[in-house]
Amino acid sequence: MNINLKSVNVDMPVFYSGHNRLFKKPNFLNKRIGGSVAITSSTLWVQALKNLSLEIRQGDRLGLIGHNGAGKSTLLKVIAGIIPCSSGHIEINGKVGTIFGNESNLSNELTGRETIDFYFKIFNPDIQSQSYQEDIISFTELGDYIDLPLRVYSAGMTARLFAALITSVHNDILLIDEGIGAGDLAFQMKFSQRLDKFLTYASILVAASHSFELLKQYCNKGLVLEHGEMRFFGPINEAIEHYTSGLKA
Amino acid sequence: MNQSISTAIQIYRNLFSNQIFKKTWLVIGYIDIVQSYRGSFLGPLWITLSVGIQALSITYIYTQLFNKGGNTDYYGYVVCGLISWAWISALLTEMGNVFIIYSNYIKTSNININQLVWAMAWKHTIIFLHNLVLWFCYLIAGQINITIYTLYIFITLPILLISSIPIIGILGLFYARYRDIPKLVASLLTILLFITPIFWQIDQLTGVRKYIYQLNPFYYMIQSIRAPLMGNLITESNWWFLLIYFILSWTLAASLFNFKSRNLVFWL
Repeated sequence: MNINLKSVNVDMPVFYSGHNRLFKKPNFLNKRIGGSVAITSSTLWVQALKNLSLEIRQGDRLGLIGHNGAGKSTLLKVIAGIIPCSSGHIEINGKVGTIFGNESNLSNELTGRETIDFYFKIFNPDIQSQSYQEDIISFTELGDYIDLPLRVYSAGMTARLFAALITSVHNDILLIDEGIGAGDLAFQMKFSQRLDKFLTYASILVAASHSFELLKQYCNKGLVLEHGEMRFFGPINEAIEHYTSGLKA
Repeated sequence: MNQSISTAIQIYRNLFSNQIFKKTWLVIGYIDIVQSYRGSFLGPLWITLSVGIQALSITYIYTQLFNKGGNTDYYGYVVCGLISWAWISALLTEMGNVFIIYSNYIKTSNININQLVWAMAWKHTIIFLHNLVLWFCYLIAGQINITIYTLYIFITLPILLISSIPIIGILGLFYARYRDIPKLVASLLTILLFITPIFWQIDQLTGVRKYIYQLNPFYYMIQSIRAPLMGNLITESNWWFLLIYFILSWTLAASLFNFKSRNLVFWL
């Protein structure tokens, strides 16, 4: 299992009417947030990742650190195959699983049980959902709520369902974008145990978070991104130090 | 030469074979229908009912307008026309908006977008089958005759549905990239409904207008469904239309879709 990125660039075209007027003179040089913005002929581009070369090997637990818009989520999405890279080469060996927030692709009109069933049918069609269903339902502790539509769930209940759902299948590579913590305190403790178990099966973890505590707990390496460029890649503690010292300067 | 053949094979492999056997699209299309009728008492019966109400109210008024009081054929003509129109208008609106509607899937997972195109086509095939219930009702009521030509529906309908798959893909890309197009099409849809022979019949036209309707591609689409449903023969020009539609769709539209779909995620 490994992830190999060779001079990957991601330029995202931005389309909306009026960009020609608003961005005639880009003034993004001294900004603390966002990626670089460029204009070619008529298109506005956000350079989300610039010339990124990286090798993530088996056993790596990589934490992504950086300001808002530094390219953390973009990098995760490139690895997940959601966003194509504009140039460069990317090679991924292993089955990729993602935890990108708790929102559902499916409708809130479906019941919890249906959501589990359809989630498996759509995203893991090779797996029989029945064998996982009871495990997920008992883990969420939703009880009879599992047969009610998702729209009556509280935010925490929905989070419980998706946290359990996503960690039910074992993947080689796991990508997490923010929000590892879900639900109330009791559930968080239970979930962190489940995640630990889950991580023993995943040979690579890539997580983006602003919580250093969380990153120190789960990661052994750190990657500092700034405006889409790699600033530091090494042990997690040094990476955090590099990032925080950059903020003070 | 060799390279162009392998490119062509790649295009069809993307749009057709390996992904499609995963049946994900069957699930997505099905969920879409199930969830949209949750909480309603009549459920998916509304699909049938809404076209039925249209057909009944239009025939009630228009039989007098066109002096077709005793002509039972007209009842069947309107209902078969509306069943076909329901599908065509969906092709131009909801099916064209496929990627905007399913943007959640594209933005949060690496789902193959062909699955979404197929899901949308499947969803509207299910809706079409719901509307066919009306055809049965009219058949039982004796307003529609079935003949040997009715069997042609088993040829024309699959051709029309399968030809539309690359069209849905390419409309989806255009609608997602140029957001004015779906709005424009939606506003032209009502005009299209009235200039296409659905409520009126082509033999009511005289003079130069008798030829103009033949330039309307939607007339042939409607006729491909309506003629066999009413037990009428499909004309030769209609067969040509289906053939050309099929070929253009699976060559031009399919390859264009294949080359332009890469940046889709940025347009949503």
